[in-house]
Amino acid sequence: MENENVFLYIDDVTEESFGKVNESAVENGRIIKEAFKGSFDIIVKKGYSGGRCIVFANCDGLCNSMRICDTAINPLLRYDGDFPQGEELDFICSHLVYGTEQKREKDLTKAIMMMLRGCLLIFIDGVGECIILGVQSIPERSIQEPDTDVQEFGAREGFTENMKTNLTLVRKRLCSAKFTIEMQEIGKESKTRILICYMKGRATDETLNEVKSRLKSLKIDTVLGAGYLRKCLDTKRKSLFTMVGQTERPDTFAAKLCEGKIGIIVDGTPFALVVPRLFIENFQTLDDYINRPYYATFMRIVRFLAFLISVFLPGIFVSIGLFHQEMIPDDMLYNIVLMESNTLFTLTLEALVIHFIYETVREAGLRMPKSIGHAVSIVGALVIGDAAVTAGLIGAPMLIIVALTAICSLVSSDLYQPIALLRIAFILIGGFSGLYGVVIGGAALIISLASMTDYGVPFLAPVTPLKKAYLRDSVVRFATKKLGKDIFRIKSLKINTEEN
Amino acid sequence: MIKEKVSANQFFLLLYLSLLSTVFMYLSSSHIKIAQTDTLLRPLIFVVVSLVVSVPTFFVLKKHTQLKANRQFIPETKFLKCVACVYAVVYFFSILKTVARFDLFASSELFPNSDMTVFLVLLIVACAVLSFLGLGALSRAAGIFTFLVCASTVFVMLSLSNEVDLLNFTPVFKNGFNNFLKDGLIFAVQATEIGTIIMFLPDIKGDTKKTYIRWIILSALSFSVIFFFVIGSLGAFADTQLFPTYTAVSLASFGLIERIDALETAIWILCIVEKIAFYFLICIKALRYAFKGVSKRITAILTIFSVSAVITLVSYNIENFGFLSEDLLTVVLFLLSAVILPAVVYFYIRRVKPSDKIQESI
Repeated sequence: MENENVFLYIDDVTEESFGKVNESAVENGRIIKEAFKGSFDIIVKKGYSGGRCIVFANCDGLCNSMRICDTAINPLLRYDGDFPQGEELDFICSHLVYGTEQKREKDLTKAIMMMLRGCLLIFIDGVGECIILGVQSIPERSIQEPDTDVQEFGAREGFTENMKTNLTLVRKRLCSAKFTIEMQEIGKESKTRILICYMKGRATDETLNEVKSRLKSLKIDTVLGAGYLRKCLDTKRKSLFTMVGQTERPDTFAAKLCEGKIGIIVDGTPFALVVPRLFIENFQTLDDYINRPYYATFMRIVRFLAFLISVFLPGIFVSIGLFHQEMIPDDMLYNIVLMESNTLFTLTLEALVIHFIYETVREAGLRMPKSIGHAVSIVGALVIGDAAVTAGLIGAPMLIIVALTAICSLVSSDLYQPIALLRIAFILIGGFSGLYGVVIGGAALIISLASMTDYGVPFLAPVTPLKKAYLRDSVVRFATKKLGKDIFRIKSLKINTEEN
Repeated sequence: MIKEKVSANQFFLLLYLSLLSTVFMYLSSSHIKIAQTDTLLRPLIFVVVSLVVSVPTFFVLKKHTQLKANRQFIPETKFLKCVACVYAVVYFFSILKTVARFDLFASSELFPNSDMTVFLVLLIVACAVLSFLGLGALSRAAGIFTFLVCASTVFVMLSLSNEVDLLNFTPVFKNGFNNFLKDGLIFAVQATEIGTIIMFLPDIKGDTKKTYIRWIILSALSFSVIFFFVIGSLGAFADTQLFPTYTAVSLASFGLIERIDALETAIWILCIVEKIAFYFLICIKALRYAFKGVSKRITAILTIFSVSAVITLVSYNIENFGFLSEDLLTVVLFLLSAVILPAVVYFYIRRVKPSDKIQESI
């Protein structure tokens, strides 16, 4: 039977190997040319120095050409002496091409890999080893304020696509020897570099080993973003919610590491992953720790209520409208009936249609060029919002409910995906079985959330199982002095297990 | 294999919710009167009965602790498999009883003149699916549900406080001590939850005995408070109502919000979902113990199918299934689950010697 994921799982493909570095520099150059036949960005140049043939190989666009000339080609080719026999590389590295990162490599496969990461390779005739010079100049955008994870008073720096820059941004915030980084390569073709970051002593060995083994088990062709790693880091794949968090902010990332979590920076992605993520974190922001505790608590409650409204309000409105009209005050009921009686659809269908239109407009706004985004918004708001009500296609109360729900669903942006699906589910449940069906659905939702545990930590901790000390920084946020009494550590939330 | 353990507090919160749902759905009948001050004292009998009947369970707990200290488990024998089958049957009937009572409640109070069969089958399926998530999920969710239930109950009780009239309270033992005792015993035997403790002993971590006693006392206090408001607000009227607790809640109003009963009923449904899911879990666990080779999925599907089929039958022929609300059935289920089966298990496992083969626990 054919494997469904044949595109991703490529166990049958053997990794390309180029063997060891040849003593003939020209032969090494030929192998590289042959391997990248037709790729004009791979540059292989030959020259002579010290009575030997020297071959330079690099990937154009990933290196700084001026630097290559200044630090390698010019000093080497202008040298008119002889290289000491048997110590050629030592001599070149210490007398000719100094002032830049250097490495020596005997394995041609690894050397080529370094070339593809922007390094310059120097092969000397008669030496079975090559010099790798760090002359990278990989194009990257400058550090900018993150588009997601926006903070009112936080730093204006966000991760970029460059792994080293991202690491620097985190290192700047964690000047500690405990901050540890381990590098891995993932993706048989892309060979994407990832950094596993953690604070030694705060992250547990079990969690760290679990993360490593899950990443190791990932057999994937290419890793083009942090999202590709989610599927192996998250064991609750059938759930709408995830215990793998992501952030675009180095300050948030550093804070999570200090809590004992494991962070993963993926080269080429401005989003870093953090595991494990708790449900309560969706309602916490860095601003909460800058604002006064009362206001921070108030905002957290607002965010949580917004989540509840965005999930349940349309379903509750539909169920009350269809099954429990007696719950609405008479005057309000009269107005609602007056407006809804002119529409074509039932409440359930109306709610589904408006949500479908809203999601379509949102998706269009997200994907289309920004220049016409406003036009779509205006069309969406005016045509759908106003004209549809005037034409009697939809009722104004339902439109208000959807608008309110849409705004609330954007408060906790990380929860948008589950919210969008749950909302539809609750509209259907409310439409078919009324408020009590919604309650049963709500109970099912809570129990399923309670069932989620990953890396030994329950998703709903510290609320359930209850950890009183950590409630000081959950839905409420106490003063910093009180928070400091029992510093949050993810390892203390681990559930009890026993080997069976 | 790593097995998750739940704390004793979480487990007993689950049982607390389950017990509360029994009180919310407490039926008044021709031979069980509620509108008496004696009702407030019935939880005292519940405390005494619960402590007495739990003796075999505590003996099993003691033996289990001893065996665990020796890294030994209760051997898996045909006899214990038969016991597990009886447990499955007992809790199968408990599910039926709970769902049938909810059916009665829904069709008489929530949606009069509506056919609730589809709704009930959906409820059963939802609960069975939730039971798949395991004891850990149910007990953790119980923490949140308990908060919601307690908060809403306190809110409703405060709203009802204006309706409470002390003249509604009759003299204590007005109907005689024997009747009080009889009613109290019938009330106490509603707690089939006691029998579940023995089933989950290996999964509980913490001081089970202390938490059990706390659970009994907390439950009794909660029942007394609920009954106080029901009797105080309804008086003799309570005896004419099928579901007096619901009728009392319908009287509550808070400012503009006049239909608090809908909110409270919604919250009660949380308890019922939790209770049915928990009983399903017991049935599936017991059946899997009894029939080792059968997969969890098949066991669950069979249980769902049989409960749904019986409930459909009950729903359409409610007049022929009056025995489900008979006290005799309640007493039998209680005695079997809380007294006889734990006692049988204890007398069986006390023979286990330290040298016996280590096998999986019940």
